[in-house]
Amino acid sequence: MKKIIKTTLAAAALTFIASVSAADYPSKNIRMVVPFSPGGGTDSVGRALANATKDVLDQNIIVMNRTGGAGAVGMSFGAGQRPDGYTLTVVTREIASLPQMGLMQHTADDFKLIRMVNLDPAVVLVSQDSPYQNIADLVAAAKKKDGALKFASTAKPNFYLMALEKSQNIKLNAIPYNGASEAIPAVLGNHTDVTMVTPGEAISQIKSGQLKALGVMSEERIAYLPQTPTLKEQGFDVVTGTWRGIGVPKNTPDEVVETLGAAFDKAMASPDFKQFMENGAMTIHNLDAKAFTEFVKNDVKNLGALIN
Amino acid sequence: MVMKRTPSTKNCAWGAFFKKVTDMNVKNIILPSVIIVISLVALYFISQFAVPSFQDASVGSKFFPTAIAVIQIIICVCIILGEIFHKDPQQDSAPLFNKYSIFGAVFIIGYATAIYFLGYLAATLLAFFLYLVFFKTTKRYYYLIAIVFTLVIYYVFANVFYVALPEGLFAGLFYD
Amino acid sequence: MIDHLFNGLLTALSFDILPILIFGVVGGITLGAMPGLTATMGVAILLPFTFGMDSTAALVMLIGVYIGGIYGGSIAAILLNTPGTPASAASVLDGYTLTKNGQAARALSISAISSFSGGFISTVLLIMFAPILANFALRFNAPEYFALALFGLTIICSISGSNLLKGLLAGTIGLLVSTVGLDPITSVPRFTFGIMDLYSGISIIPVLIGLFALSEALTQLESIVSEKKQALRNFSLKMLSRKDLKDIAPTAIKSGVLGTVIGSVPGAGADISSFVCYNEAKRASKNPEEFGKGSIKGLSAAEAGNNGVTGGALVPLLTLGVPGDAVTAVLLGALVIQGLTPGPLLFTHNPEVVYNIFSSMLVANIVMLIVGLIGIRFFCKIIEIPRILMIPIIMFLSIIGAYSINNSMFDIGVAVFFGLLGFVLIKFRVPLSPILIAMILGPMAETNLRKSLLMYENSWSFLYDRPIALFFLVLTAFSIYSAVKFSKRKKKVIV
Repeated sequence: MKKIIKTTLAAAALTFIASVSAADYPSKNIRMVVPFSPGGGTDSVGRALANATKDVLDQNIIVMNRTGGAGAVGMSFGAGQRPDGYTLTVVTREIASLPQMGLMQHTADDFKLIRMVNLDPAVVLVSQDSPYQNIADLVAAAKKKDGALKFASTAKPNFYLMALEKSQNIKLNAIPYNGASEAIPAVLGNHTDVTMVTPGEAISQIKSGQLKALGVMSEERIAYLPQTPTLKEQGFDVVTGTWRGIGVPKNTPDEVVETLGAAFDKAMASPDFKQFMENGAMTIHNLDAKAFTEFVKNDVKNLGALIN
Repeated sequence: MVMKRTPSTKNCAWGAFFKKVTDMNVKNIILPSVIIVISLVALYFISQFAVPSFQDASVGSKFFPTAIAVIQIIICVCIILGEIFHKDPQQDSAPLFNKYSIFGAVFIIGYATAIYFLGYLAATLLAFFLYLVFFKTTKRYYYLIAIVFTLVIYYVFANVFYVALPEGLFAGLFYD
Repeated sequence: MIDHLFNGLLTALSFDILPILIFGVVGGITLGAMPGLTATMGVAILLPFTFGMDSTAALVMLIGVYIGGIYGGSIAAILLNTPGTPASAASVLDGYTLTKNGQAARALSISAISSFSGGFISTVLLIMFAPILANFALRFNAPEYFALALFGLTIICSISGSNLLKGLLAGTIGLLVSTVGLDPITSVPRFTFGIMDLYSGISIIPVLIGLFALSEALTQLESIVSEKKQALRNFSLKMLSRKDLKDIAPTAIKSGVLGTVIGSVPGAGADISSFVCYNEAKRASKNPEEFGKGSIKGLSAAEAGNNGVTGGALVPLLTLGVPGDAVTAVLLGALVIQGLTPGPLLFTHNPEVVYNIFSSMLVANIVMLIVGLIGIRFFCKIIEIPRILMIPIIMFLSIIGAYSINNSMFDIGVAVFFGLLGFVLIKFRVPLSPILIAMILGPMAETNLRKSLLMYENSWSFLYDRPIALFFLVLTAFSIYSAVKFSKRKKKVIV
């Protein structure tokens, strides 16, 4: 009996070591941790990417929703997994903001960032019968009303709003709603004056005319809203938005990271994934490991300036 | 409400009160007393909540928890007073736990711990067998059912529901 | 509109689509019956499989899972006291009592028929009144949600019966538990003790599994003295009688309508609806004391109420382009993946898609009724499994269920803790459902009160200058008054 146990353990230990070795990666199913609940934007991007990547890697990718703490729980969980490349984590902009607010122990440094997947600007939205026609109107009203203009916030604190507030030295009454699906009805029903969400979250209301897009918070106009001027064009130098990418625990071997990176490049270029992102009015923004890491470092600095 | 088991009440009011207190089932005031203590501890922690760094209104983050804890204490006091003055006629005096429920509690805690260390497959098989042995089951097919159940659930969760069941801390040693 | 609907029905009944629909409904029922696996999860799991499907087939399958999933949760609730989802927790109150009295088949048939009634009425209302319902829903905001939550919380008074104080105690326990985690308005950590898993609060489903399934398993284990002595529980396969049908019809119809309205308000889902409908049925009943003791009306109200949400929840999705609850959030994703834009434009650009959705919902409800009624015989077999085997199986499924909702070991701990707590509370005659109601509605009340104060800059005028909010506040006062009166009347009867 003892002998059997010993040999089994030895064999198991060998397979264990083998599974860590990067040469035959991937040799089993891969998990993808999504730090938000099923049905949200991050979840659907994660699932679509998993679906597109599984054919490239020839291994199934199982999406695992691990929600809580505005993404902190899932991302911390992902950072703490075995660094063998079998646990991927969808990292979102919260990895740059939450640690600085003391709401998350892990930081972006606990990950090896593999690829950025999408980068979407925020859009400033008011209801169709709102008196404001452009950003200047809005900023003027905010100054006049001195903090009484009601802003439907999709998160607390809201960095899109804080960027505008800081640059224009204004203050809005930010009312925290639980995501875009609550903030948009609050504007539609005229319970609040203005909101800022990403294009994908409001494209149907913008197209139908229920919501008016006053400006896009990007460097250049975006393909989904060609008629909407940027804030820069209107004389307000505010660029902000949100991004998502994929990371693995920081000690993952480089060969594995490269294999995954190449697989994601193919997956993001696949017609299915492109079509999915286009349908959802999201912009694929493929940055490689180095550029993505650099980008996140900068974003941490930007957000730090807003937070402190 | 009539107190059936009170034999003769003494003339002195305090005597009657004392009699009532000793007469009632102590079990019935344990729970409210424990909850009062928990509420007090909660009130202490509420006083330690951080001050928000962003915005706040007249009703802040401390308001709701404080109100709930205070109301909870009031309810518990009412329940204790009610027990003293109107003994619930429906109360039984059965013991809180018997041999089987203690086994059950230990079993659930043990299984939850085992699944963490051993993962789903090993923990469930082990727990099921231990359970059947505890109840001195001699029917062989019960053991067979245990094996089949464990495997079917494992298969269904992994391949139909796409839920990866826990692999346990020693996952690398057993399942790779 | 009629010809669109007719074409839709032809599609839904065609050889290509009907099998997919049936597969969806049956799959949904199976999934919903498992503790911890919800309709939301089912739809999310199936979503990637729809990437390659054509849009009608994809939507039809997901809708089948949605409708089947909400009904499936009740089967386990009625037979085993283990509600699969919070939406079926109200069905336990009377459903499981009926099973204990040997009337499992009657309870299941009432559940199937009431769910069908709720779902069907809801779909019809959706087809006829979607734009009106949407306008009504838009008038809801923080003050209205706060008033609705307060009204919902008064259900605790009404389901506690003569044991008002202990019911209230259970309510405050639930409320206190619901404040754990980051404060929803200011992100201040409350009762988190630095534990990451507590930052997002304590999830409801593990609590539900612990309170109902695990504590019930413990209670049953306690009553097993030896394997030999335990007799098979006797039950009859008799379904509901014609008289039953007549008795429940008004309740089932009313709850279906009420459920639709609640469902069409974004943020209020099947869990809230089933309790509100239960409460309303009890309030309107001539013999409210029967509720909780195997009342078929109570069961019917809860069942029609939770399935009544299915149609309502699609109102904001189809008319405003925002999801009404977690399941429709996933459905929205499915529409987007198919290249469709949910919202008012869907009616003008892709009316065939809208009417395919409508008609597959109608058909899915009929399929659910048929599967539910045929299935009763098989479902009842579950009770015939010797308890000595069933108890560990319930325990294992509960713990796996608690894990799989968020892939979290911590949630297993939560379920075990609440299982033991529930067992102890039963001993002290403290009712358990108020804990759950308070956990669902407490955060809704707190968040929306504080949001309202932010909107009104610390003035409390929203309590009286918004008609819908005022209406619910009046209902709340009325509900408390009648509960107190009822509990007094009942005490007199005992004395």
